Amino acid sequence: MTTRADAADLLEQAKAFDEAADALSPKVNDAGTPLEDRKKLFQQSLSLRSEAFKLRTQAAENTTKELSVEVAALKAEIERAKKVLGSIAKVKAVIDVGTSLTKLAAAIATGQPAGIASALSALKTDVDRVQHG
Amino acid sequence: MSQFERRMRNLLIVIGALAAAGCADLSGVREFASLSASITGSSALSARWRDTQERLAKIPLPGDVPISVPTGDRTQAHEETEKMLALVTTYMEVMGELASDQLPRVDAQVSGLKAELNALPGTPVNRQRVEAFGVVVSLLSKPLDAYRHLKVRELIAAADPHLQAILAGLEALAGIYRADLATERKIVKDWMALHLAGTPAGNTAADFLSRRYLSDLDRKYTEIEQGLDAYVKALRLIAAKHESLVNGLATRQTIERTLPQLKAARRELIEARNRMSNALAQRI
Repeated sequence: MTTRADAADLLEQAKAFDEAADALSPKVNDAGTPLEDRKKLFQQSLSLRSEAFKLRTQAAENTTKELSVEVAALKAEIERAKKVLGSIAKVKAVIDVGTSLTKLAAAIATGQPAGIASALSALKTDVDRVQHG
Repeated sequence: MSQFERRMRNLLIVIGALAAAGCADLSGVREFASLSASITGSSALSARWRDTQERLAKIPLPGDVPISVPTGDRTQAHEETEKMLALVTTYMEVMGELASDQLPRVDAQVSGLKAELNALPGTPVNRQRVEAFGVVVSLLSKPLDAYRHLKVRELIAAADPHLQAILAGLEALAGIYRADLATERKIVKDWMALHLAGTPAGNTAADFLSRRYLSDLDRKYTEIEQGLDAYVKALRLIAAKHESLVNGLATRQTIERTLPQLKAARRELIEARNRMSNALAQRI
């Protein structure tokens, strides 16, 4: 198991490689130094920069591994919340049935066949929704 | 008043009291969740970091020798980061959904029903019962709102420690991208210095174009750095505002204090998102 301290150590080492490469940079940029020497120095600086990159790759891997427990815990909370959302959806569907029943009662009370048929149809849809989740 | 009506009245009083205790407009929470999800919904900054070696290899050295700067295989770190970002995004979406108020509003229908019944000269259906039934249906949605709000609070409190740890981890990763970007910038700068040194003396046109290219590159790197800084700022803001919700949704008083603060974070999150997308638009 890696720790945040391991990642911090790796980043410190990476910084040291970067600083070593930085020290070469003025010579790479020095117009008084022969071009071929400058190119060689540049290649040397690339090797140092590459080490810094690799160390940071390792640090990033360690950081993600370290969080695996937290990731699993957050996943579990999300699953719990999704179940609650499922329950709410079911209750909402029941409320929809109640609403349709109210409309049906109103249609019956007013005695209009078209209204009754329409309310019955809406009620059937809502009941189907409850039955099929 | 019949026994049925007395029972109905008592039931309504209980439901009303329950609803009044727990309901509040959580639109601020929904908006915060949606904006947060838009920040964590992209893994492009991580992908950019993964592709550092490939990107540098495409920059030709004088003499067309590619820059070879092995970074090690970054696929795994990127994929894990991508999963974390997707998880935080899903969390925000679920939190937003739980804070949603999409229940049916039947109050208007109940009022309509009452009017229709009053207009009738006579009916075999007991009007008061039908009307009371409608009112019960209408009020049932209110305690459900209260239940939903309770569950939002529970989710936020339970998830907060894990979310804080993950956001801190994402911030640490952004710090790694930032350090890498600085290194990449130095490599390109040194490469350009060599390129300029190789330009034949007196070729002012080539010299001018190279310097303009260098200046353009410099601007692009600055934009990317600003995008990464904005990303870090947004992650911190999401962490702080989420933490404030742990106790901020407990009572009406705390809700009244917390939700305006949440809305105030809106502008900063949108600005961060814009800076991030500007950074990702830079082609080097």
